Amino acid sequence: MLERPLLEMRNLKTYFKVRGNILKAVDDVSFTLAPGETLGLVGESGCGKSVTAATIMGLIPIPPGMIAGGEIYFNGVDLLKLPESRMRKIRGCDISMIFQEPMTSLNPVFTVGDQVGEVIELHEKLSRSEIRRRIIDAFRLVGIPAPEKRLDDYPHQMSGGMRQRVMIAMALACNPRMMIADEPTTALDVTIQAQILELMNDLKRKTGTAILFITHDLGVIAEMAQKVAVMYAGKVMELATAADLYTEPKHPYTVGLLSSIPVLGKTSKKQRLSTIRGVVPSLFSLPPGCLFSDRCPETREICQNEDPPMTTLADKRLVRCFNYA
Amino acid sequence: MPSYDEKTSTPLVRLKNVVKHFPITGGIFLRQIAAVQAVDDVTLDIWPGETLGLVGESGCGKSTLGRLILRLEEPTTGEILFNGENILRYNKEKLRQLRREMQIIFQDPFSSLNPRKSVAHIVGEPLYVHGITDRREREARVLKLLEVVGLKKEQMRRYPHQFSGGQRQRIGVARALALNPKLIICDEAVSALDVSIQAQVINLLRDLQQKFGLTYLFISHNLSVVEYISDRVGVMYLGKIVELAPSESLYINPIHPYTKALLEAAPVPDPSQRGKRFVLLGDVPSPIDPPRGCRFHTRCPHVKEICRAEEPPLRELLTDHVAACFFAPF
Repeated sequence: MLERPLLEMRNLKTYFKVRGNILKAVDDVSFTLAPGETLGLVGESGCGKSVTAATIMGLIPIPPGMIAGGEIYFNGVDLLKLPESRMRKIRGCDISMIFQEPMTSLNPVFTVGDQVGEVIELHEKLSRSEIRRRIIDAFRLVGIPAPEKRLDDYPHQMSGGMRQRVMIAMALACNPRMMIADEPTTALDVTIQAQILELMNDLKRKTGTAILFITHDLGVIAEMAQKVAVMYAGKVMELATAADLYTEPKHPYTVGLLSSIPVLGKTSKKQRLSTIRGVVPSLFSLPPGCLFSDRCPETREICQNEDPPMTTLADKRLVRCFNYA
Repeated sequence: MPSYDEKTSTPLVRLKNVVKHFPITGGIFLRQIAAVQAVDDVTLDIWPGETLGLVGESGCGKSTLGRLILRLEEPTTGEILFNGENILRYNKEKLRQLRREMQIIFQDPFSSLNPRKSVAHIVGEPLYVHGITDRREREARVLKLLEVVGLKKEQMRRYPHQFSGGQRQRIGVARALALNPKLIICDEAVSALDVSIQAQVINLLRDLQQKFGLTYLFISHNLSVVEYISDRVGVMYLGKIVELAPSESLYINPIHPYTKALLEAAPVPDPSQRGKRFVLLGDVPSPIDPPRGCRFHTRCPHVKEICRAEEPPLRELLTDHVAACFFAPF
């Protein structure tokens, strides 16, 4: 990937002011996404992965939210400096989004065709019949059978998998350069999830759309992403290619995460699952120093006092840990 | 781990041809116009001390099966025996006694605990209902239970919102343990938890099983968790058990095409395995009007004429390993 990155996030800080506290939901996060690339953003609840996505889309309510620093360059333009009117043109068109719940993110009182058509209508000047043709094309692209008929269905007439295909069709309707998928398969059954993941990989190959794929499921990320950023309590702890990350995780948190999930056919029943002690931290009470220091099996004195810097290793991966600093 | 020579003894739970249809009513007289065939003709034994895993996709009837055993639902037809006795004939009082023996842990630790009651109250309530009315005695028991599940003494007076998801699930486990049950039904008990916390709760469940000789019915859609925790695993599809086998046998030699497809579809945390799998086409049909014959025939890659007409029976194809398919193994 020698091309210029499509998206470049530099030291993004998205904070929230809640009851007199400043919550650092996203704190100093940087990454790049090249055209046609999939970057996985993984982490447990409250780690800031969805807030990162919402910040890119300009969907953070201000207040209580605030962008305390950083830049998000999309195609050379800093999205954080754009007025809402221009952001509205980018949102849904150049950058589109797929959400977790195909049930609640579709409007139940409009047909699915109307809802996909609305996106096209907002961003392009086309006649009704042209829009209809575009919707049918989009439905065909995402593998909805008999698109001419399904167009007039209401969301409740479709299965979960079909609804998620409609969401993807909607996201692709304007040929976006980048797609943010926030837990797109979490609510789906395994066999349907496999279908949707295959579809997304297939579409990426056909359209060259870059994908920012957000999930808590390390298995799903392994299917999808070339690069993976592991987030914890608002910070990126490790950023590496998927191959490097899974074969040789470096950050103690990544190591802990990967070893705490039982793997089909691999985990011996005789041994106990290895665990990460303690609980997922609340942003209201983060430990001083390294945010993972209170749960880390390798914690040292320095970890509890100082914030570890992001270090670049020989294989170009980034790790935020004193073990490698 | 239980040994399977126990088969000469009585199973803890025995389901015989259990059917549960939920009626759908309509028209002006609200007559029954159709039925959701949630569980259809399931015969199953759960042996003392084992963990029986139950996997399947949403709507396959796995949760309904768990609720039938607890008699939270009444079966349409069939028999349910607990320790050899038909619990469907129990009167109210006997049923209340029976409930000491079996408990359930729910998926969502956020909605299954009353937000207005303290932990002492939540965990102590089953004790109160079952006759431990002395408060001091009850609280002494609650303290012991909290210790068993890894919570601290001083947390007894706290309320659910003061706990994290994993801790709440521990409260749910403590409540289930309060009456020293023999059987605990874990209905997606770890599915809502974060990855790092999930492993803690799984380890806890396994430790408790060894300590108290518990029997688990472990219902989950997560195949790798079920493989890890279960001695035997049943696979359900549209209200039927399509395959049932010892865990190793099922995962190493899956026989039914649906089981194979499920295992293929499960994402593995290994990028080198990417794209190397067979993806099952189509959706799960509606349980209101399930396909005739083999219920899987609409999606099965090996479908033949007979599959559309007749229902395949469960056949033993490997030791203790049964599957409902006319042509398997492939």
